[in-house]
Parts: sequence; structure tokens; C-alpha cells
Amino acid sequence: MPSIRPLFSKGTAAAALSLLGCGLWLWFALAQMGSYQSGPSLSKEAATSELRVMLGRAAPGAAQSSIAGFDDTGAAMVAWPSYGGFDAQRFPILSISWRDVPPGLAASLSWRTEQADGVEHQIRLQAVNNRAQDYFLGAHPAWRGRVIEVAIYLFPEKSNGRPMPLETPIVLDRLSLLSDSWSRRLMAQWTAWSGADPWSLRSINSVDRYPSQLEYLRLTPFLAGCWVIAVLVVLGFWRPPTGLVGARRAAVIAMPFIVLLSLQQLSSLVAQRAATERQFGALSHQQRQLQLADFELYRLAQDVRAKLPDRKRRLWIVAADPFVQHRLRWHLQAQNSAGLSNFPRRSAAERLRPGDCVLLHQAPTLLDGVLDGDWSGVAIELTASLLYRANDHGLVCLESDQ
Amino acid sequence: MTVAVLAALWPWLAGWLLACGLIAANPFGRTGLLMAGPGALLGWVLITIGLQVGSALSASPYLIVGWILLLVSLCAAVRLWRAERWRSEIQWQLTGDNRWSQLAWWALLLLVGCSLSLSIAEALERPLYPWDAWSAWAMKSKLWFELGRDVELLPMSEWLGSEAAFTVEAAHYPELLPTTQFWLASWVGSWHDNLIHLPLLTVVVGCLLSTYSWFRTQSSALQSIAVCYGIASLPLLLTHIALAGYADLWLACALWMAGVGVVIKLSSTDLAPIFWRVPLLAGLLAAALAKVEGSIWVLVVGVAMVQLGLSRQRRLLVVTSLVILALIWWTVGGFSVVTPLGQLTLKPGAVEIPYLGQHQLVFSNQLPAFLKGMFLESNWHLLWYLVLLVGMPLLWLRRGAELAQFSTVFGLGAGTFMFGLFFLTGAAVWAESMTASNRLLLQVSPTLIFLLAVLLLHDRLNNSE
Repeated sequence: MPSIRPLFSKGTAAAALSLLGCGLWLWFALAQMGSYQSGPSLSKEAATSELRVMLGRAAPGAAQSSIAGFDDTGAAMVAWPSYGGFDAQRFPILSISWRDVPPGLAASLSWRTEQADGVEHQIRLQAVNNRAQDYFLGAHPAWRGRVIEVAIYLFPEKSNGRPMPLETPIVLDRLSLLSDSWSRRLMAQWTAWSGADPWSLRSINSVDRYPSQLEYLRLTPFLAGCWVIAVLVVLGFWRPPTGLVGARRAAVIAMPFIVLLSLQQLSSLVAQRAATERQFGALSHQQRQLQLADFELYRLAQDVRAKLPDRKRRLWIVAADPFVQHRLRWHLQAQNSAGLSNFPRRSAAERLRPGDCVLLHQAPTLLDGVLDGDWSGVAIELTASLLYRANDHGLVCLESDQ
Repeated sequence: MTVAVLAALWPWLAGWLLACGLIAANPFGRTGLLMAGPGALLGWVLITIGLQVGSALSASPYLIVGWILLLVSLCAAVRLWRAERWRSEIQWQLTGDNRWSQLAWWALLLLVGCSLSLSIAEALERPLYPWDAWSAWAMKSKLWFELGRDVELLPMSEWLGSEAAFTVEAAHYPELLPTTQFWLASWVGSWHDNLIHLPLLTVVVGCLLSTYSWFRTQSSALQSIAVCYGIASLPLLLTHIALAGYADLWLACALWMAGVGVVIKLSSTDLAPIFWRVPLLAGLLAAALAKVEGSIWVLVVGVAMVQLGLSRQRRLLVVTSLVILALIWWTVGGFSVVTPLGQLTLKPGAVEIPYLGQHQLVFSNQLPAFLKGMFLESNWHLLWYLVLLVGMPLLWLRRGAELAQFSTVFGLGAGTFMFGLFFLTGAAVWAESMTASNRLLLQVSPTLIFLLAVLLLHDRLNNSE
């Protein structure tokens, strides 16, 4: 009669434990894939600060987004930065869930595809509170090909284009695209592994990559770390380490996981590289500047620079947004400039000297504020001259005789 | 492009020759390769100092720098020509011994090459991208390029009252990075957002060559390339190459090469004693010139080196004295003195240190942000898991080795600095918003990997008495 002892040897037990671990993980990952949504997380922050995102300032983060108010056209928009787009057929279902939506509000989903030149398609949505709603976009004839822009619009149905006050922000708990079959889920999974992480998610400060909910199979450092520890425990159970052996074993076990993580990153680099090549390839240095998201500031700076008398004249750039201030300074480089978030604050205005120039960005609002303020004699005189002399670009230079 | 490549290679080669000349190393052999990283740093430090000397003497900076590079190269070449030592150096096999290890070696080399080349290609095509790169660092070099090196640059507060000076945010920043950008732009003849990154690329490649060369002294080819891969595959490091323009990677490379010097000193090798001084000094010099916090890292490395010369009893005495002094300091409420460098205030609620500024001290727990950056996000692949699983046990297992003691003190010093900065000062907001904490970790991570890999793989380490 064969002995049953070998069945309980440490090696067999370790192998069984490993198999059990693998099985549990796969079961968990596949089960989650079947019931959760997919696609890149939507973020209001990403939409409103896309310019900054593109230039490396901020990264979209939380999946939840909220709308605090409506713009001048009476609508609120939450754009979905798709970064190169996605295949519409892989994500035929839209899942959406709202909170704190006031009555009388309408919503729509709009999108553009790569193929349809500039044509925007729309469907109406129902903004119902606290209930997840699914829309089968696959039935729409225009939900085909590569979608490059997706946005949700919210607008009051009877406000005639006037902004509607909101007492509490509208919260979008869930807004995502789903696959409707296992094969599409698996393809979406592959896309998640091999797709590009745009530089806005891989900023100079952190590689802020939040896997979306379908990406349970995507190897994250946390998951890889858990695997390494699990394998070490199993191996230690089988063959306990002594001295340096355990440390060396851990390093050897970690290496394949590092390679896997790195391959994931490499595929993202390849995709990102292709996107950069499409955007900037074969362009001159100046043409590349015009391809940037802030090309209008670049053009403004070129015009202003041509009008400025000389580089040593001090130039004050007045803009509420620090990004605009800094970008104008950068594009106006070699001009003796400084940025101000408002103008003229008493302290800054008193520093103005004859010969200085002021570039007013968003000038009317700022000047309104100035006229309402309580300004000393110097500031009022300067303000008057600014009002009088500002040209099309909002540029004014104080004459020497003032 | 050709001019830019030559302008980037010239200082590297001159520095490399200088480093080889100083130690009479064969530039085409193992020891020569070891000097690739320190050589790159030395070359760019020479450019920085040369341009500053040129400006101070009101002479043409190009003339001064050109002469310096030429003289350095000539002296090093003569020294190398006359040295006999390197001619008999044993050449080593580039790849592994058997077919599988050769295959793995080539695979890892391919991965290193792909990661680096993709990141470099990105840096050479995408216009200057990260915020501080264009709003601070390159602002200075671009102004120099357009108006000349003698233009006076002041911080905003001083500029308001001045007559002719210009203002940039980076007025008080150290000059290594802006100088290299200025150097490249000057040679190209026009400002180019991308080509100004070439100096950084020479330094990164040089440091990887040095690392490979060092590990080949005692490890197999496969282990050596694996260590290089461990460093070159760090996601945040690759991002700093692709989105070049910050000085953190410069500082990281400088510390990394200082680490190479330390390891050479603390290992039993057949290399001449002078060998360790070149990478260490090149690294520390470049660190101090790269970023303000570089001076702190120089201090940390210095303390970690100095403590090695103390016996166990003296170390205990020093630690006890420091604890007692700290208690007295806390009891009397700190002190404030005027030093030749400026006001020095060390009080429990506030510090003011010359060159580093004034900071209010309030505790703020940033541990969750750090843990998220280190263990959950994809910044470091498995580096911090390995530090816990391999690094900590290694420091204990090899506690008799001087290198383990150095690494422990270096790690404690780095931890103390980061704790002080991000948990006690206003810089906590940068940790909370993840805008600086990972960059500070980047500054030490290549050094950390290098030190831990040596402790893991090398047996011939000096033991303390």
C-alpha cells in the first residue's frame, strides 16, 4: 500500500498553496470584471484644467466629479479626456449615476469620432437622482470607430440660456463605459495593459495611474508586492532561508515582477511616443509651440513682443490665473517682466514707474474692480492712463512725462 | 543636431579623460568605464565653474571654458600616455558565460535600451513640458542665452526696487542645470526646448556605464546588467528623462556617483586608493551645484563617512551626547545666534538656517501620502517593497561591513531630512499634494538601489574593527 506521507511533504503543500493562490486571484479578477464598469475615470478637474494637465501642472485624480455651477451659456460640461481615443465598439454601454440634481435639468451625452470630421453626435440622457442608469450606445449608428471626445452637458430646460443658480453641487458618482461581452471585456483588458498613460497621468511628481475598475488583471506595484511576499512565504515554508539566502531569493523572485511592471510601462511609453510623434513630429521648433494647448498665449506674446519698445522696459503681466501669467512670461522671455494676479494692488501700483508697460489679460473685469476700489492718487492716475491707452492686446506703456 | 550632440559630448569626454587621467585608468578598459559617470559630472561642473569664472573676469565665457576643456583634456591625455599601469589591465567578458545567461543579458540590455531610448526620444520632441522646467529653471538659461551671461537676475522682492535688473523665480537656484542648458543653446545658436536636455542624457548614460563596470569587478555579467536594469527601469526616473527640465535627476545622478566612490572605498578591490576619491568628489561637487537640497545630501554623506572612522564606544558617546544636547536644547527653548553666514535660529517652534531659509515647525502627518506614493502608485516598481523585504534584513545580516553601517546612517540621515521637511515644515503641503515627496525620493533611489545591490551581491566588503 503506497504511503500517503509524500502528499503532505512541504514541497507538495507549497505547490498546492501556490495553485490555490493563483486560482483565487483569477476567480476574483474575473468575477470583478463581470460586474464592474470599465474605461478611463472621468474627472471634472481634468476637464477644466486640461490645458494645465497637458503642460504638466496637474493630474486628474478622483473618479468622482462634481459640478458647482453653470457657465455663461447656461450649461455645464464635463469633458472626458480620452487621450488618443478608444474603440467605440468595445464600450457600447454608458453607465451613469447622479446625486443632488435639481428638478428641471436636462442632460446629454455628446461625442466626436476620428472618422466624422468635426461632427458632434448627441443623445439625450435622463438626470435621475440616486439611480444608476445604463444606455446602450451600441445601437446608435454614430457610435462606431474611434471616439476621440466625449462630454456630458447639463442645462436647465427652461432657462433660455441663462445660468441657473445651484444650491449644492451636482455629484456624478459614476460615469463610465462598459463592455457587453466577455470577449470585449478581455480586449478592453488588453487595452488597459498596452494602452498609453498620457503624460498628464505620469507627471514629473508621480506616476499617478489609477487602474479603472475593469483593470483587475493589470499588474500594479501593490499586487506585484503581494505576489512576491506570497511566493516568499510559500518558498520559506518549503525551504526555510538561512543567512543571505532569503534576501537573495527575494530579489530573484522580485525580478520577473519588476520586468512585468516595466513591460507594462514600456508599452505605455511606446503608445505615448506614437502620440507625441503624431503631434510634434517633423515640426520646427516654432511650429511645435503652436501645437501646444496654449498656442493662443504664444501668439499673443509674439504680437506683444513686436510692439514693446525695448527689452529693459519693465513689463507687468496682469492675469488672475498663475498659469497664464507664467506662460506669458515664458513666451515673452528676455523681456523684463513680472506677473501679477490682480492690478493695480496698491503695493504693486506704487511700484510702477514711468516707462513701465502693463499687459492686461482679462482687462475689463480687472479694471471694473479697480474703478470700484478706494485708490490713492497715484493709483487712480495710473488707472486712468491705462483705461485711455490700452490697445487691442491690453498692452499699455506709461509715458515718461506722466 | 550634430552641433548639439558634439556640444554635449565634448564636456563629457573631457571630464571622462580628466577622471581617467587623475587615476591613470585605461579609458578603454573596465576602470575607464567606471569613470564614465563621474567624468560626465566633472565635465559639466567644469563648464559651470568655467562660465562663472568667465563672467567674473568679464572675459568671453566660451574662451575660458574652451581653454579649460582643452587644457584638461591635454593634461589627462599626457598623463594617460605616460602611465603604464592600465596597459596590463585584464579585459573582461562583456556578456554572460552560458547561453541562457547570455540570452537574459541581451534581453535586459534590450529593455534598458528601449526604455531609455523611448524616454530620450520623448525629451527630444515634446516642447518643454513640466511647470517648473519652463517657469523657473529654463527661464534663467533662456535669459542668459538671449541677453548674455552678465545680465543681473534678482528675486521679485529685490527686483521691485531695482533699476535695471531682470527677475526670475530661479534667481537663487544653483547654476548647474541652467548652465548646461545655456551651453547647449549657445552652441546650437538658437533656443531649442529639446536639445537643451542632451547634457542630462550624457550623465544618465555615464552613470549606468559606471554602475555596470563596478559590478563587473565582483559579479557576473547578468547580475551587473540586472542592477542597471533595476535603476534604469524606475518609472519616475524614466519620466524625469522624458519630461526633462528639473534638476532632481541631476542630483540623483550626483549622489549615485558619490555612492560609487563610497562603495569603492569600502570594498576590498585591487583598485588604487585614489580611485574612490574621483567619483565621490565629482558626485558631491555636482550635488552641491545642482539643487539647494544638494548641500543637505552632501552633509548626510559626510556624516555617514565620518562615523565610519569612529570606534563603537565613540559612536555611542557621540549619540549619547547628541541626545543630551537635544534634551538641553528642548528644555531651554532653543537658541538664536548670528553667524558669518547669517542668522541661525533653532527653536522647538521655528528654525532659521542660512541658505535654507526660515521655517515654522508644526507637525503634520504625511505618512499616508508617502505610503501611497511608495507602495501603491507606479512610481517605483517594487523598489520600496524590496527595501523592506531585502534591504532591512541585509543591513542586519551584514552589520559587520562598513558599507552596511554607511548605508544605515545614510538611510537614517535621508529619513530624518525628509521627516523634518515634510512632516514639520510648510513643505508638508507638497507632500500632501504629491508635488515634491516623490521627487525627493528620486534623489536617493538610484543610490539606494546601488548600495543595496552591492550589499546583496558582493562578498568582498571591508569589515569594521
